[in-house]
Amino acid sequence: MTSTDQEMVTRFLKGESEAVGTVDGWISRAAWPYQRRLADRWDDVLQDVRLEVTRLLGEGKFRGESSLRTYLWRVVSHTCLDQLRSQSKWKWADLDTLEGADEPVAPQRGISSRHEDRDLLLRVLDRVPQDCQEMWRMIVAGLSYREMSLRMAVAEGTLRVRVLRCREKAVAARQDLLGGGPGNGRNNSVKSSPKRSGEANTHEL
Amino acid sequence: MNCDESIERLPWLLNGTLGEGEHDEVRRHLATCEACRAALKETREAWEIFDQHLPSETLVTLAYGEVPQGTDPTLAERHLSTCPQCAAELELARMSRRLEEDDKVAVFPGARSLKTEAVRDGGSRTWRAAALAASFTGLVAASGWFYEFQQAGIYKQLAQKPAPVQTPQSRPTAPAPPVQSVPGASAAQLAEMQKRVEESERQVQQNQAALEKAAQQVAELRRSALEPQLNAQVVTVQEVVRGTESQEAVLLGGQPAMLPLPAKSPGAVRNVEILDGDGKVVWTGSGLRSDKELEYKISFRAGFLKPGHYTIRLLDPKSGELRETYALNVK
Repeated sequence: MTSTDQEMVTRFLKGESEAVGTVDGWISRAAWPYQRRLADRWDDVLQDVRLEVTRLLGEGKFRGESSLRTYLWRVVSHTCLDQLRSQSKWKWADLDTLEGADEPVAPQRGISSRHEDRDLLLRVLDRVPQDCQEMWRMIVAGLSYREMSLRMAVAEGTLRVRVLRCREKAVAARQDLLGGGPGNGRNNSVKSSPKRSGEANTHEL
Repeated sequence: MNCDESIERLPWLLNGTLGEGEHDEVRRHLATCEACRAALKETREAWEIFDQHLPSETLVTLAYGEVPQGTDPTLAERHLSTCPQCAAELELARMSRRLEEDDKVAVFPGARSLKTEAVRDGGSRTWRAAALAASFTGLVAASGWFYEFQQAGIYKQLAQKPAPVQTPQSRPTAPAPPVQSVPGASAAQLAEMQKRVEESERQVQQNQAALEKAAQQVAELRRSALEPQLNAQVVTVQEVVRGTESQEAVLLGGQPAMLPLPAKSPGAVRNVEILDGDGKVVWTGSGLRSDKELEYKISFRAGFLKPGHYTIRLLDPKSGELRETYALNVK
């Protein structure tokens, strides 16, 4: 760490206006590309970034592996990306009462919170066909099956069955990577996928 | 709804886009079917998988051209090629990096969202306008209530007064509307009310007189607007045959016309009579004056004179003697 950067950190943490102004200018400039997409709560985002920067510098996380300016730039990008993702994170419909009847409270944070490697989930996703990913992205984006059927020019029933098959493929890929056999002791109660006749079967994935 | 139909709809139950009827049916089915609840759990797991993206720190590392730790670079590259969200976010991180590396790149304040602007400006303006409108409405309503209250108070006071004592009093020439006797009203109050009624009648009569006078003035103005004008200066009229005392003047009755008549001396003042072919006086006027050109000028409105022969007689205003006579032919 250069003496200049160390001095800047010290002065910033002391609250000297010149240092605070310099860091704040860096933050504003680094965050500028994200402003348009976070405009609804831009002031809050900037404040969150300032708090994060202050926390990291206060805890001595900056070790001088890069310049202070670059370090802050990356922190700002990282924080803004997290803000973007939290903004678009889907809030599931309230189904806790149903799950409560099934098993102890299942946290909605998902399986990534069960200490599974995020890399594993990316590998699972990588194994799922591209058209499955696209269909499920539409669901995650909040499209109804009617909207999806119109967009894809597919009958609604066919679409629903396709999405179901994709779900099964994703869960199966995950089980394969985890090394467990089918069901893995968790899905034994799930019925086999519905047998559709006619049109639906002709579009089966 | 059976299990198959319910399970097919689970992804849209989670994203909240099922119709109300479908949503309720699926919920009811799930409440009674353990297998479908397990399917719901699987659907959530699938959701987590399909909603998986590169970690933000990986994107920042890639934006700086470094190899990300904890993520297979090949896998990250494949994911970026198929995930538009991650690709867009990587581009934002790269743009941010360019701003760090090149201070010459100017940045401008980004446009705030319409929603934010509406909340900050329009919202407060709307609130102020609404408050103002509510205040005005309240003021009007309060005025109405106050008036009602005042009226009710008067009637109440009148009702509480003793019965009136009838006293002889002079009646106005015009019959006034009968004053309703209010039980309990005093003679003084009745007299006061009678006085007010009379005052109102007088006011009405004055207004009617003023109205009649105004109507007469309007009628006079309308009539004079059509009548000939003496000593007229307006000349945007038709060409007429100038007459003399011995020669008939000619003009077109359907158009405005300014008729010059020869005078004997300047400054002579005359009263005017226009007679029709039967010798009947159709119009009289006064104040006709000869000008420097030794002419009397009379302006006629279009349509004032019907086609026919007329005689214009100029009289001395003091003695009434006939001074000049002109013949006029209106075509």
